[in-house]
Amino acid sequence: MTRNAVSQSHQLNVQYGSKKSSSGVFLNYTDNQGIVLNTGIKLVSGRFTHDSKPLNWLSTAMNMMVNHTWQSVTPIGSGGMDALRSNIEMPPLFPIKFPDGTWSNTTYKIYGFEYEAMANPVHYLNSRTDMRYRTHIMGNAALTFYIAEGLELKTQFGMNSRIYRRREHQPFGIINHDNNGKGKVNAEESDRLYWQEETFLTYKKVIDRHRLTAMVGLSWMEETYSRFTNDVGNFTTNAFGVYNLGAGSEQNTQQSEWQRWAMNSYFTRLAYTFSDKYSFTFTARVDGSSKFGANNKYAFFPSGGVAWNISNEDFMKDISWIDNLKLHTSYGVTGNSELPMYRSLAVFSASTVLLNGTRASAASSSRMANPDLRWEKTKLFDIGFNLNMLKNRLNFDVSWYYKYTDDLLLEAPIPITSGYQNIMKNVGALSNKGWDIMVTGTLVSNDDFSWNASLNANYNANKIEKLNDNNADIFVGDDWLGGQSIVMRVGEPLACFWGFERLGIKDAAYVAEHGGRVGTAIRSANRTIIGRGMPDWTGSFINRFRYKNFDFLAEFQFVVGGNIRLDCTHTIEDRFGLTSGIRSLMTEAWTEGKPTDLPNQVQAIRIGSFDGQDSQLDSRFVSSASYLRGRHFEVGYNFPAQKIKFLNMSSLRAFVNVNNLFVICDKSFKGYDPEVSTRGQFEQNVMNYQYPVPRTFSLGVNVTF
Amino acid sequence: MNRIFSLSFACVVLLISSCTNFLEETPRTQLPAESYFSDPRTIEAAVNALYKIGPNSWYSPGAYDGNRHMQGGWISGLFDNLNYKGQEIWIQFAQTFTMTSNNVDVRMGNLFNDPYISIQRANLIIEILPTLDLVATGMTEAQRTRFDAEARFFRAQNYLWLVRHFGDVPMAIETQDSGDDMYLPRTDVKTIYESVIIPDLLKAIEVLPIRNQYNNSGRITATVASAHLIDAYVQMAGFPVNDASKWGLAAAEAKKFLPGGAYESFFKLEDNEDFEELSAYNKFRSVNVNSPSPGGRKLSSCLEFIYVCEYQSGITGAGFSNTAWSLEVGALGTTEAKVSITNNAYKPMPRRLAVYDTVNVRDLRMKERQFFANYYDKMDGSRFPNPELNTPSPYFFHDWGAMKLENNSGRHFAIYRLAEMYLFAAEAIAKSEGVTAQAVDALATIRARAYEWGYDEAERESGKPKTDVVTELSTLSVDRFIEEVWVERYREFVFEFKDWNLIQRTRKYPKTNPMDSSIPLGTARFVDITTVGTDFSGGKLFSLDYLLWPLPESQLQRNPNLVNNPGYEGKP
Repeated sequence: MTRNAVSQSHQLNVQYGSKKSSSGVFLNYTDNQGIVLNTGIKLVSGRFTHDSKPLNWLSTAMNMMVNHTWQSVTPIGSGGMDALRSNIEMPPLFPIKFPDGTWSNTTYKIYGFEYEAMANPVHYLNSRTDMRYRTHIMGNAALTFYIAEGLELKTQFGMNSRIYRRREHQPFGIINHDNNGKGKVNAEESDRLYWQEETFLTYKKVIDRHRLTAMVGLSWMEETYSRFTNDVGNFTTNAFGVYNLGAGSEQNTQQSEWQRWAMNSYFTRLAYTFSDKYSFTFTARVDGSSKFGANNKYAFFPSGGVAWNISNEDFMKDISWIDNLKLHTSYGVTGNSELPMYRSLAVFSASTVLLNGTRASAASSSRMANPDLRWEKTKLFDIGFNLNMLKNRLNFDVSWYYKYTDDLLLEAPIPITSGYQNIMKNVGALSNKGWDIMVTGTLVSNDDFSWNASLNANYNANKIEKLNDNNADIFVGDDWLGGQSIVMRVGEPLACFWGFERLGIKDAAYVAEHGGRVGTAIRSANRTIIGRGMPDWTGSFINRFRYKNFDFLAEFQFVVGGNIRLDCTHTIEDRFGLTSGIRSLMTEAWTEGKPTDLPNQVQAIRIGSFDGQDSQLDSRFVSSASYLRGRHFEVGYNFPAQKIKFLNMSSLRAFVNVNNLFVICDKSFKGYDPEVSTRGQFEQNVMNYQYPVPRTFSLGVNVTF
Repeated sequence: MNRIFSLSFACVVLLISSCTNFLEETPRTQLPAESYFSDPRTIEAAVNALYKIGPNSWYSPGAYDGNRHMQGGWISGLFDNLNYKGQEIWIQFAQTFTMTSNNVDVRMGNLFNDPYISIQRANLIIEILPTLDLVATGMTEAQRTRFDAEARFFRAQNYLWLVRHFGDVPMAIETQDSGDDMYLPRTDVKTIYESVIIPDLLKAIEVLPIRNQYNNSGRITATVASAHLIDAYVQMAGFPVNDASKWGLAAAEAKKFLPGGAYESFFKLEDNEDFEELSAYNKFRSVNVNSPSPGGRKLSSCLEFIYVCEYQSGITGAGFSNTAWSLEVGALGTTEAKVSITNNAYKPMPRRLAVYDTVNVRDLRMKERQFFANYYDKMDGSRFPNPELNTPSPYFFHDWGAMKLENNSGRHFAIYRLAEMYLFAAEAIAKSEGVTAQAVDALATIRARAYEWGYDEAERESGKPKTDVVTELSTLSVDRFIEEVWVERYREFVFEFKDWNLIQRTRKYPKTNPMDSSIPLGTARFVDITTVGTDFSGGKLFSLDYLLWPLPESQLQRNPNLVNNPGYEGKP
């Protein structure tokens, strides 16, 4: 099901220029094979840039980029019996194909097992296709007018077009994934057109020890999006693939939609520096977004900062081991308008219902109007310092921040007796505080050998301060195993996992007293918070070495704190028997005589669907999210300039590297890789099945002429 | 330099002055609510949206979790979800009497929330209709009254289910907007019946056409509303309202469906053309299926059905596949089934099966492949036996064409059929007038249909002609007669999700032979529910508290005026 994948990437960059203009042409071809069969992505891209100064009062700049990608994907973590799932859950008793050449699936009964229906993953990956095509065109043009000494007016216009096509073919014959034996094609097309116009006037002036920069500007931006989908089912042959939608007889799930948002902003910035010691910055913006209520489209966002460059003070002159010391602090308000469109308006959504054997139009009110919907605001305070010492061989950049988000935009729960589950409202408050720490050092430096190390670490703690009127919990994310799975609760961090606690295992004595089945889990009566998706610390540690013409790079990445919820624990442990499972069943499953009072034990193995499986989202699903990854290791060799002169090259470097060499994580984690892609704003570190993360070896050369 | 200034200035002016409504939002994929009710077609679409939300949508099946009407069957211990209760956890909480507002929040949320969504949609229609100008909208007065009556019907239907499941609930009879006080307290059941359910249903009966739903484009008719009204009256006559005066009203309404009644010409009890695939019971299974079982017949409608939840295959999302519940998991291979996931989601327990008299009287409903099956057909005609644990499984849910050919069915699922009106009539007449000939005939008609089988076959002496049934029933006291009605309900509606509702209003549990061997097979002794437990409850007995569900915790949190039902831990 997986393979050793071979990928290639070629880039060609040409840049040239004259006194009055410069241009560049950049070409790229990349072919990334996926390590799962028949997955991967290809990219062709071209970029052109041109800057010129045709008149002494005018300069122009433009760039254009076009790329196209072809991507073949397989579903990840959908919960369906997809290949990444059946790869683990298909009992290994089954061959890929039977001797007669037919693909195997689990409905062939073996030894009296009764398995949930699944096709084998090789069959699935070889037969089913899901192609995504993306064309991306981006262009930008700018004019700068030099009006007077220090005064310039710049106006720039950019456009960005993203055209997307998806073609998915579910041929019949793949059990549990072929539209009940009928086959299906999904076709989707969408385009997203974005433009932005920005004009600003900048004035710069230096008088003695006073340095002043002032800027005012305004901008407009708009994005329109339209989408069309068509699902067609029931084909008599798989031969058409995605190329003949008219051949399917189930022709009734077309959908289309259209959306638009726009923004309009006015902004100014003032920066003043005295004697390179004291700096003051003040900015103010008025931002308007179409997404808010009629009277609340615009909001004002000021911010200000002060910096003191202590090392430029006279009294520091004698302290030679400090090269640079700067204290800085700032306070400001920023806005967030990341919410779906049209949420301030009451609208009717149309659909159809079955009435008298056909589809009849139906429509219902989608939500309550909220004309008060307004910008979410975050107040941010930070304070920190930069310190460079020992001739810049040891550098610190450390800051502490506190963010308080007010008017948090949430789908605020309201009593269902209103007819609605929730209303988009500015109700919540959220705080974040943390540290950003960067330490870099040159530990060794001489002609033959050098070692640079850099440690970057970020600590963040967040807390929900307030939700809606009654602070009712907000459940986000998909329900899992008959209950909600992620809770937002006042006083807790975001993205807390919601489930039962697994307290122990029922033995005969327990069952005699309380009922139930021997070997199943004892759990708390109610759901509670069983983990949190947000980590405490994230960061990286990078080492660069140079020895003569060789260079070495060793990069580590780490996460400390937080939890991961592995949803497939349900099928691979708790519900074993309907599908295959994982090794922990053999090594850790409870058997008679083992202790019954340890939390998070594996339940006794129960084979077959009648044997009383008992699966609930509980603390057994949750593991530590901490890990250390050997992210990137590279060895390079720079050919000495005189040795490559005859090739007309100015430099030539050959390298070999390995990505993702190792990951060390908590042994409670049972997935492939503890780095989890985020599903939603409030939903983190939840995974079901993952696309396996490859370990990549690369060879390459960089050539400059 | 002047030239530059003027050029730059022009640029700025141009930008600032352009598009004054740049930030206005005008959705195109949805319609603005203010102007929505401007055309009879859009108004009718708003009414149509009421048809598939709330109790009607609860029939829609999930292979793993059954449907939402099954919760009562599971807690009663009369049914089990054999293969997937290990992952559909609220089933185990119900079975072990350990439901809390917290641990079944989502499932109870489904049952509590959907009705209010429907109710508020109906409220909006009821409120707005009188304000609309007939000329401006082009709507006729007749349309307006019909829209109003249909909306009222659905409001009543949703409240009927709400009070059954949750008892006192907030009575939302007006729309709300974001500035309103949304924290409605609970209103007692009786008030909700008297101020919403009964008046709304009466209005619907008065206005809507007296027809069979099949002859009314599938829309609500007066007869559909009548069936609900009878159910509502019977419910009011029982617990918790205990208003015995409603028996008379229920009897009067139910008599409309009996021979000689106002609705007689629109409905007909199905008869047994044979005692195999063309029995009355197998006909219920084959209304609008794609392909009937071998030997069966496809019916396009059924005159015994009063109100159906309709489905249609070939329209994506409109099909029904409860055939998944007729077999245990993994029973069939790809060559034998298009259905990938099967699950005996509503397996009748031995105590439930014991209501059928298989010893003294041959009850056709218990015969192989009527309501139940011990084996299924393979494509080649040979038989596939069920595993023992799965036996018998619900043949009532089996749909041969869906299982073998399409996994999708247009099968119509009856919410009320005429047989139930007969049994309502028998019970209500007996309660209000005594064991009259009409009451006896109503019960005997339903019972005798199942007893024809043994009677007709000479070698089996266990069947019974209707005349014998009438004779037996006529001598009974009212209380005994009522119990015979109840036991007949258990036999007739085994897979139509009526059991729990009967228990809720009578607070009686059908104690049968497997629970007490002194009770003969084929009968039930109706005992106080608090004196029994179930095979799953681990020795625990029912409490009256379990007759109502816990309110979902998520709603208790949102509304401080909402107090939980007793027995479910008060406020979380």
